[in-house]
Amino acid sequence: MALRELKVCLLGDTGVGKSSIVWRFVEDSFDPNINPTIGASFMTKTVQYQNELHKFLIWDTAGQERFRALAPMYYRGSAAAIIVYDITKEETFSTLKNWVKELRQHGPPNIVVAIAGNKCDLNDVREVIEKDAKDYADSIHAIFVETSAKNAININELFIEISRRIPSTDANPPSSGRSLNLILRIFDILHENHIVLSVWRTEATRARGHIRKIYAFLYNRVRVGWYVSTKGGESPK
Amino acid sequence: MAADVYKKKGDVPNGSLVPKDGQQSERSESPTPGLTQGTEPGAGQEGAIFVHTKSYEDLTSTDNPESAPKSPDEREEPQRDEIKMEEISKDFSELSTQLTGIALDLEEEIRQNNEGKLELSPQASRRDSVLSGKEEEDITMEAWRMHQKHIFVLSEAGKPVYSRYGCEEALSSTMGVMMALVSFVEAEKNAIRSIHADGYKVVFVRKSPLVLVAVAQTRQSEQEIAQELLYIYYQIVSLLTLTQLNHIFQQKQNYDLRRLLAGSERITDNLVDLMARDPSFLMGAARCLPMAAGVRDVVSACLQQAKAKSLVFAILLSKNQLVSLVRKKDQFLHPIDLHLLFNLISSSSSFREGEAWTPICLPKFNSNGFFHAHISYLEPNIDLCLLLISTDREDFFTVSHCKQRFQERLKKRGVHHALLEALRTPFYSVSQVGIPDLRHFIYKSKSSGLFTSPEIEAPYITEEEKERLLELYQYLHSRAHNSSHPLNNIYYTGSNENLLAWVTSAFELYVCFSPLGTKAAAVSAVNKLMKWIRKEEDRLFILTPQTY
Repeated sequence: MALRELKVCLLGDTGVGKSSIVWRFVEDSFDPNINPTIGASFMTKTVQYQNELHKFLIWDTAGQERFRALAPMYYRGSAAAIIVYDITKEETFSTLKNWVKELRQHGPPNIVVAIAGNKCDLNDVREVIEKDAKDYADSIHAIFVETSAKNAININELFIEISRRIPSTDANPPSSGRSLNLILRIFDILHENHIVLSVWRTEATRARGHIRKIYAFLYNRVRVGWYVSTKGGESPK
Repeated sequence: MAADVYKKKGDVPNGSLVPKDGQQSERSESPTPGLTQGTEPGAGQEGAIFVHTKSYEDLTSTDNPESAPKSPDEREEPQRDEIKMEEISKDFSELSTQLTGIALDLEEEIRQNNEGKLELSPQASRRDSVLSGKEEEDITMEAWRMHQKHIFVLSEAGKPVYSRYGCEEALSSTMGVMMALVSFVEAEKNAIRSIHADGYKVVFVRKSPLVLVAVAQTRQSEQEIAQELLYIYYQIVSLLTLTQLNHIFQQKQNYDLRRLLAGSERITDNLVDLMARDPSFLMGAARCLPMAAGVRDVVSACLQQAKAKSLVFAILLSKNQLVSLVRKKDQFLHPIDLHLLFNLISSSSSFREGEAWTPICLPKFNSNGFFHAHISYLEPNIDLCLLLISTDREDFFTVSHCKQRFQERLKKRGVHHALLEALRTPFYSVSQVGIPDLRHFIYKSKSSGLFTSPEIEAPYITEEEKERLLELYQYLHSRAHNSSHPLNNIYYTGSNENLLAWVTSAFELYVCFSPLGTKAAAVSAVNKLMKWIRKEEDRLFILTPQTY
């Protein structure tokens, strides 16, 4: 069965339940007295999706102000970002809009955005109306769900939807195809989920343009730790 | 001023509990410290792990001589030693009786009757606060006033940054007064260090751009309280770096720093609590998890072999005890930095799952930059935490791979189970030493920066009793390291325990005996104890530290 790695990061205000969502998804557990995340936390979980195995590489970031500057390090390499707000706190929804803006400006071009309105079990103290959030999500073509990490509502569904939305590698073969006289080799060297791709060029000058295309292709798929080397030629960077 | 406090306390009738022949100094007949630094039990064979710190004063005075203020009585001309010893004895007996709770309650009652408004005894209220955790307390309540030790941090504009108890916002006028006091004294080119009144010590530490204030009813010396405040200052720097801290206040003098520190209150709270419980802070040293030297050496070798270019320190620890530490050659960790790391890990359960990756500043190593720490527990439900400190924030996967390699190596070399076995007995019993009157001790090897101490056992069972024992050690320590009257030997007989302190250039030893022993017995017991530590040193200390 084919294994695909999906890099996902969670963003959002402090205390909205990012870690709780991840814990529910990865461990199927919930701790009401969870401590705030410090820095960022990395976890993985492999699930079956249709006839593929999807390995989620999840960066759960800290929502506190002093870690704000670190966020690009995590969303830069992600195929999807889950932005979480707390349905009982209006201001966390405003923070969410700022995150969307930041992703549009500085995030990878085709990052899949998912919006999760967490704590939907606390409906009676709700401050954010579901329809408003849904309309906003539609306007930016984002996935939208209301979740409850506590009661395990819509958590798996959220990740399944992300699986569905992230474009499959097979659906997008390199367009250059046969004319491209290159050997592409993939080494899984550093870490089981850290792929370094090396591209060797066999023909000197002709390939330069193709390398750029390959680079663009790679960049959209292998975002963390990409490394393209052109032997003897200039870097496509 | 301090002398007044002593005198006032002396009037209280609990003086009758002091044994008549209790106070004795051992200065004349001290056992000769035959050990030079580096040869004492516990001294590493291949150099120290830490930055070399001789004593407590070094920790406070290395980069800021002002930060270890002397109390007014310490700055006075040397008094006669006899007087000093009497004072020590008196303080001890007060400490002993105060903490048994009987005499203090009596004193408290008297005060309540006089003032007619106090309703809670300090101990009761303190217990309440421990139970309730950091609920935002109402600062107008009497209970808030009765806490043993308040800690306040404020900016130079007088804005609240942190308060141990109660909501900072409600305290802004109180903090304004504190800043006014500081500025008032500074206007005359002086610096306020402490105020002693009515059993309280108010200690100020000025570390621009912050001001730290403690209001304590404990028996700690002013110097020790100032040291604790410095730890809190370093704790804040470790979150932000000094560069960022200075930059923020240069940009905006009345910046509300709580915005940037949001979520870190728990770390600071934990630090304050830990300092009252863990002798590591007092000793300026780290305690090692006792384990067979062979196992530890293999674990250290495995850790050393799982290296990466950007790794500077690799630390394996269990419940604030060191299992192994590997450092880059020529790079030393300062005990304060290590304590801050221990505190960070013990203060949050968020490291229990997954792999954490967080920027951290080690203020004693470099207060201007961040390291990046990879923090993970090796196995679920087992208290064994691996801390890998890297210089490169993009190096998560490389460092994470180091962890995997370390774990694989541990299993391959067959020490995995031995390591887990050692974790099952994290403390040893004092009965192993085989000295009947010996209750507890702390032994610090100065050259390695490591100390060892048995589990605290009966009669120190309750948390209060344990803290009392630590307070006794604190007192011995402060007397031994008094900057104007350092003492090498202290022996004290009390109604609850006999205490001995022995400080040489190579080691420090603090011992607690049952109150029934004699001084001669204590001296021979200390010799026996030293022999035992020497015999067990390869189990109690890290003798062969590894470097990259």
